[in-house]
Amino acid sequence: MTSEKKTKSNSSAPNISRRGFVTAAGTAGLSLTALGLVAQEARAATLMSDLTMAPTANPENAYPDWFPSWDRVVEMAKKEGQVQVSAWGGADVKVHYNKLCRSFEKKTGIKVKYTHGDWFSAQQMILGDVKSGNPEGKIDCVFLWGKPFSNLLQGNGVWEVPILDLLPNSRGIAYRPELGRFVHDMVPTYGTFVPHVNWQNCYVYDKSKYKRSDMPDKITDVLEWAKAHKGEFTYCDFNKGGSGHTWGMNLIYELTGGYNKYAFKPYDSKIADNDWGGLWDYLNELEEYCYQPGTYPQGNTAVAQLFSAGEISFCPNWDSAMSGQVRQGFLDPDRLGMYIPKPGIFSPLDGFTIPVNAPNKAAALLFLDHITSVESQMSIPTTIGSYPAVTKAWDNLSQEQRDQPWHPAKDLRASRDLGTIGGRHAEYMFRMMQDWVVKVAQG
Amino acid sequence: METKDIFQTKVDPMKGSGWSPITVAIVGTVVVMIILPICLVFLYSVSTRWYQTSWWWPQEVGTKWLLSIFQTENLRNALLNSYSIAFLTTLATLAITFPASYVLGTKERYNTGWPATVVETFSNFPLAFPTITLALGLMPLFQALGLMSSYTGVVLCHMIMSIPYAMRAMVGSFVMIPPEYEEAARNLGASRLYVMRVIYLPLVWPGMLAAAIFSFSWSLNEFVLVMLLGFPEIETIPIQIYQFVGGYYLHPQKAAVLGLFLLIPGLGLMYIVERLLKGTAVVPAGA
Amino acid sequence: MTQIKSTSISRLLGIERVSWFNLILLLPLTIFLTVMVGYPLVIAIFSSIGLAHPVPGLPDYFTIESYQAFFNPENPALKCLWFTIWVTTITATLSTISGISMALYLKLRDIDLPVIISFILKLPLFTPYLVIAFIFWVLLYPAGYVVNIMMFFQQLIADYIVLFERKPILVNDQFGIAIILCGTWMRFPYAFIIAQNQLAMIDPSYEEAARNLGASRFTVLWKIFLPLIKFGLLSAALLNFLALFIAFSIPFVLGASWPQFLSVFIYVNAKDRGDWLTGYTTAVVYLVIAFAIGICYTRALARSQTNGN
Repeated sequence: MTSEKKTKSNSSAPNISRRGFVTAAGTAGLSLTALGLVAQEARAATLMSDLTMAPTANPENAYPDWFPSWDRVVEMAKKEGQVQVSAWGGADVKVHYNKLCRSFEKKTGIKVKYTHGDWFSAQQMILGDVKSGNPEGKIDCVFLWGKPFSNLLQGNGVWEVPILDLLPNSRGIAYRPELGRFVHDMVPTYGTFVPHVNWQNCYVYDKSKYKRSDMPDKITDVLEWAKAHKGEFTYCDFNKGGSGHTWGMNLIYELTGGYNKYAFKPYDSKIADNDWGGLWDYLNELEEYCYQPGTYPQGNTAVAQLFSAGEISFCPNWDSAMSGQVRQGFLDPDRLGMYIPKPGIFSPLDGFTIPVNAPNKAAALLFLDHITSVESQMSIPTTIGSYPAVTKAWDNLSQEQRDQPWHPAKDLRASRDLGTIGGRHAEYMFRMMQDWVVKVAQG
Repeated sequence: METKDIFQTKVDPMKGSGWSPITVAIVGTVVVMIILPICLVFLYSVSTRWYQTSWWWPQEVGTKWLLSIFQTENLRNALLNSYSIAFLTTLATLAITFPASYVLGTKERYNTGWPATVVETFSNFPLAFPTITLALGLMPLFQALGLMSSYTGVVLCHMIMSIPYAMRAMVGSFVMIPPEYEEAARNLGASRLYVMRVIYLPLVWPGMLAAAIFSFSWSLNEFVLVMLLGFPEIETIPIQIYQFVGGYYLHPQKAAVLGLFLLIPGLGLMYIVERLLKGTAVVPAGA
Repeated sequence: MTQIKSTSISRLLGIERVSWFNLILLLPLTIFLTVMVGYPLVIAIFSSIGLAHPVPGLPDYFTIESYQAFFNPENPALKCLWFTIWVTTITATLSTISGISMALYLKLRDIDLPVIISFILKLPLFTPYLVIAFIFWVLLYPAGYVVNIMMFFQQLIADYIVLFERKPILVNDQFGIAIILCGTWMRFPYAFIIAQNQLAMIDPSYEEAARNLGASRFTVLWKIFLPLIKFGLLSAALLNFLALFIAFSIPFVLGASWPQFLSVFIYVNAKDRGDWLTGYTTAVVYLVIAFAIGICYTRALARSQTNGN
């Protein structure tokens, strides 16, 4: 037998033996299965086209005793029975949170103690508690912006658990790092930050005097416009309102080397010392053509009021500030024109975190999940006049609600989640705010 | 003989050489200048639409903001807190400063040594202490004593700032009292406590009233200390106002409505005080 | 009168022959001030030199570098301090003079204000200063009442003189005009009440005697009232100065980007940027200035008392 096989295999023509065939077939079979598996993997690995996450398929028994599933969190939250929420902001923000707290109470039966105060005192209270070792704080979740969040994180006041990824509704927030998922003003959040509202700084112009085509397209074309229309443009004091310093941050990107020079890189004071000459020259030249050269409105609302009063026709300002003016009856909405210049005015998302000594952490998680739901997020454009962190909430609004003049981006997904967005760099921004006083205001 | 009887003189308003046209003009101008901003507060509290096309009067007025304040703000609690804290602060301040003002006001007569001078200078310190620094300095102390977010804590820290006002007003009054009254009483065998109670108290009560008015109004208005040391348990009207016209946010109409809740009751109280004071101009008799 | 016995301890402390009773009367206030003012004062001073850490960001070691930085001529904080001092001085002067003048005028003319007017003059005491700061902004900003009225008058007299070529800048300006006006409005009643109170305590026989001797109203004012209420004048001026010196909301709303009031400067540096070292250093500077003013005041007070009332 062997000699026959040997003789047959010795011939030049390829001769598949039975064993060889079985091997080949087996290999082919395995490969096909493998390919199939790979194809399945490939299917599973397809990201959602809007950069959100598909709902989890982890079953209950995937969670051992020592790790709570979401159902366990809900159960523990109900046992805790109450949650203490601290936030701040204008009148509209207060109305918005009151609404959300009431809907949460109705849905879960967990009592909400909402205090509308001041981010500074909340920060101090938590840091003070941490210092004195008080294990039971008075705040379960606190609304913060970049600086106090950073202070709290550095002061060991934040509960260092990646809470964002625990919340089922957070899957609705697109996976862009700048959307508060990984950084907040370039300060790493390590998942401890739950973004809530996406303020948008825009260019605001008087529609009754100018057409959109008359207004500068690029963020840096302001100087040219101001030269042609002396005394009609102003911006807020960099230290008194975000509308000023957010715009300024984006000017830094455009005038001193590009966004990538600063994005996700540590602060280097030498860059601020050496490379910002162009920025200061620009602002100093602009000052001569501003409204009441040498004086700067002392806040976002001061700028908005000057605009409403017809004293200026062009300024950078927040969507919520301008919508506030219309809601309070100071500004005729027909005069309000807003747009985002190229390449954008990268604006922050403010949100919540849970302090380390929060006594009701499960309830806090449940509350944060509730306010990240699509229905809750829909209140942001309608009550505050700003953009939601969860894009689906924007999609669910009516055309009329999206058409308001303080919503310049009509397709939030295309412009933000899948488009060009960036973030502010907190440390460079604070340096800029400090230097502005010396280099521009004092001049 | 009751000391009060000697000194009471009834004064008729609008009588006498007073009201010439110049006087009317002067008083009138001052009154207008004071009233104008207050009228604006009222105007803002009712304006629901005020476009720039009309610079001096809103296009639409209504009660929208008043209603929204009633519906959404914790008004009753805040009002109660504001006024009771102010009242307690005033009482406590007067109680603590009366004996000290007596000592400092009669310095010339009794040897008080350097302790009195130190206390006098030290009592001026709160006037120059920025409230935010004071609040931050007090925070560790309050946390250690368990006074954070407590009624007592807020009254105590309000007392800090109202003491200088009270001291200034009261020491001044004590100094004005001729020393002969006390000497006479002491010669007749009165104890010093008796002298303080029966002689000085009725005579310095304009000063005490001034002190009380300053303390009360200061405490009513204060918000930095309450915000950092009393919030969130203790919420007062100024804290609510701050939410609408402080920091970076502005909702002047709601702030104006809340402002009225401080203004009107405060003025009501002042009016009552004025009526009590009217017709009892306290004037010491001749020496 | 029970005095402290003259022992070696009491001689050492310098309290020999001081009345016991006086010391006891001073005790409650002393304890209160020591705890409630002394403690934060010590915290403020120690924080500025690195010996206490109530907030993050303070140095861990003893250092006076923040004071060196503060008193460096290049330092903007010094300019802020100077700005604060002269705006506050002007405001204190205006408010005190207006309050006292009003009280003196009413006294000289024997006018007794009707209750309603008397209490209207005290309105600013009860107006929340946050609201008033905003209202003054509305009154004085370029589209506000005051400027509109000024421009209206300007138009009327345009053929004769041109006072303003364009709208005058009254808020957020480098001279602090709005701060001065608002501060004067707010502090007027303090000066008025103190002056009224002091004048009410003057023995009417002085004035009667002077008038009988033929003195004019002006002489009565100059030779009798003013010397008698010198104490009150100083006290009112001091009160108004210090109150506005540390004021925050008014300069925050009405002040300019530059120069800034010192309190706003602290706020911006410390609260927004977390530079607490500058905040505490500046607070200590504030306190030292007030202390110096307090000493001058006490000296002037002593002198006015020894001159005889």
